[in-house]
Amino acid sequence: MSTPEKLRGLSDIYRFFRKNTTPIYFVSPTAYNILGLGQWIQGFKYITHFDSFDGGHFRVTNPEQNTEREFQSMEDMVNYLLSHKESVDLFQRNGGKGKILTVMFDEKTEEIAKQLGVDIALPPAELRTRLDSKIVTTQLANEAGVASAPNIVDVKASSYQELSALAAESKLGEKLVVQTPYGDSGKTTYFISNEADWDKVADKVVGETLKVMKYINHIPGTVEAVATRCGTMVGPLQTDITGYQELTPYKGGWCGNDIFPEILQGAQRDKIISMVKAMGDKLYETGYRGTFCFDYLVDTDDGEVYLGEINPRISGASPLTNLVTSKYGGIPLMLFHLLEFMDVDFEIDVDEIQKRWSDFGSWTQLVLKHTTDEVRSITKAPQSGIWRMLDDGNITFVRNSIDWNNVSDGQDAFYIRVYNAGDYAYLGADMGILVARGRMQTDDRQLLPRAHQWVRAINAEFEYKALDELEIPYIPTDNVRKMI
Amino acid sequence: MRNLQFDVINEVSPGDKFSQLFNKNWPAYRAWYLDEGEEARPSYLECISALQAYMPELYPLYQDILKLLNCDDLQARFLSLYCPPTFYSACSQLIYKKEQTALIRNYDFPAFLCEGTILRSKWLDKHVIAMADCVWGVLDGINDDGLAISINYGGRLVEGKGFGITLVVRYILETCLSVEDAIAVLNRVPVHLDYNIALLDKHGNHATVMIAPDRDPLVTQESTSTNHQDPIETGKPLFLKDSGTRLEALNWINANNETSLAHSVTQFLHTPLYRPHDSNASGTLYTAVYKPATGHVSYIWPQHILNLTFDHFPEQTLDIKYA
Repeated sequence: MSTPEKLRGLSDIYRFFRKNTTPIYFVSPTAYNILGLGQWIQGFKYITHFDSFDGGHFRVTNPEQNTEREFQSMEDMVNYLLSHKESVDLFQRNGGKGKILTVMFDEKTEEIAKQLGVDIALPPAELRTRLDSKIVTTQLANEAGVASAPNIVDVKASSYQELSALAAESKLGEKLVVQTPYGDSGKTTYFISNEADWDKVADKVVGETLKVMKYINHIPGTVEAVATRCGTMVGPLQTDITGYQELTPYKGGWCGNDIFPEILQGAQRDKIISMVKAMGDKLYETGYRGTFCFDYLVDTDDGEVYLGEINPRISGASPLTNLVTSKYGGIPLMLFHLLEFMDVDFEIDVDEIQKRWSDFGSWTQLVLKHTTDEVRSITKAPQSGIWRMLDDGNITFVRNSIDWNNVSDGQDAFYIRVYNAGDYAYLGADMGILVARGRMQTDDRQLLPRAHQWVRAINAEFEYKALDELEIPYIPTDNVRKMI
Repeated sequence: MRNLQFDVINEVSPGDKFSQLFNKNWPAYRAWYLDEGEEARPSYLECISALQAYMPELYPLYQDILKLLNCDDLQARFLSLYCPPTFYSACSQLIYKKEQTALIRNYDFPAFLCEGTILRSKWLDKHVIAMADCVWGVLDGINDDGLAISINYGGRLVEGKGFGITLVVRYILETCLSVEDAIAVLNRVPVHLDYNIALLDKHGNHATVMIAPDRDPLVTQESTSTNHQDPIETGKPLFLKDSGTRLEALNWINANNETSLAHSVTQFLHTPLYRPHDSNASGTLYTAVYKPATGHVSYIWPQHILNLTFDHFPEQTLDIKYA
């Protein structure tokens, strides 16, 4: 028996993934989060609920749903997909072993993986759940010396008076940001400055364990990183695109990112990177390994930087991270996540690799949610591929494409379709995602004219039919609406 | 529905005839299978895991059938018969052991829910003649090793995790030589409802096994059974009120030494064993007589009789009208 090779440096890693035949499956509503990884990994497959490519992507399987089914959560959908005959047959055809990647999963998924004889190439569900709590995250960050915006955690308040007293004690000021432990897209973050604000959200916060923060004027951003045995590797910083009414019905809700080299130069940037590293190393100590998303806040009044929250998973920040790290830096960040789970030893110079990702072109992604509060049946939807913005502000379909690599210039964008003709559109549904070169948001957080144009033009590609009263479609719960 | 067509089909391995049976019956089974919603049924992975764990000898055959029928996820889950929706039936069973041995039973059920397929096959290493249910499952039947089996619903209204009984009956006919073998299977394989199983082999061994999802099988030497199990639990209704009456009738036939096989069978065509369709939702659809010692099989109706053996099995169609 030969000793398994130890990978040293990028050439070894390229060769390893090119030659390794272990099947790796990304199981999710759509393939979007880590689209394109198949270019690096021989055995890469996607198992998705939505058919974004009309059968035109050779790595994608869409297990056919034979009848109506109401998914209770993304985990529920992932478990359904994994247990489906078409997936089980696929696993078997590929030798019955392999690794699973997904965005959301639970203990049931772990049981299913065991039955299938495949490994989940992610930290255990129990650990992820624990880390997903904003309260646990804040406490761990404190231990790692990573500052959060002035806050108190693990507190409860049953009235506005109690909340203000707690805030006063810790000098958090009058304008408060209150969060419950779990949730995303700004849906469990509440801005409370007075009793009226409190009354509006009281039913959602009373009885919950809370994190209470001082409100700071800030720019929110995101960075994806990977905690490995060799240290934590930090991807390029991104800004968040949040809360625009034409993109999301949720106040403060996430609807995209910009990635551009000029973002936060100098001391601020260095500080954020060192915070992410410290956080990653701390997570690794707790048993967590692999990819995570670090949301940061830059205080626009004094320039201070803070931890916002951690998402211990593949996330909406993954697409731009992998795009930029591979296109300009030669290797997608996600490969290091996989290395941690690939039964192979490796020794890499984390800083050396990370340096490759300092110079890159600007890119952006917009998540287009359905913002109309009316359930309608979609009769026409734009197809996935490369679209071009014409001088008159209209768009035209240029060609099919299975990822964003061939977005040639600033006029082009890659659209991935989520909802298609025959589906229902309802408030908050992720209808599709747009990836383009350049930016969509200004430094002071205004959507650029081209963003308005793209959003309007893509939305104009949809056609709907009103429902008659007897048609009462299944409307997914909030847990399932967000597909990436 | 007041009439039913019975098809006598001879097909060694699942092929065109089997496909036709499946395609004919699938729309009705699909509706039944989705009765409580798709998510109430176990996933394909759960289904095949259970099949592999409890009836491994059937698994390759199951996979062949899926390929033959080009089954989708839902069809494959249905065919595994793992945790299907509930189905209740009535029925009366008598293990006759006098001048010769026979397993006699009435199958009582709504006519529109009966497939009416009598299938002779050799899927694994045994020839089997059986009354089909859920396409490849079995309501009653016999194999060429001389083992006969039939089922009665047990009447306790309990539900649990397990297989639809008709697939377990198929499994027994495909893999067992004797009553003893069959009892071992019933001890090992979970079922989702309660049943009374009548078993008779060519050596004259017999048993009535009372199985349920929530308790260990009770193996008895009873020769008669209808739609209740002992102990009868107060407050839990029997599925059919005449279960006790029919059992008494069976016990009377059994106790009477003068009763010939022919006379015993005749009793199954008269009330209380025969349940007329005008007064019962679950009327008697057929009477089956299996003779394991000789491999003779008869399906009997008030106006018809169909005699079959492993060597004499002419394909035919019978139109049965129920009064």
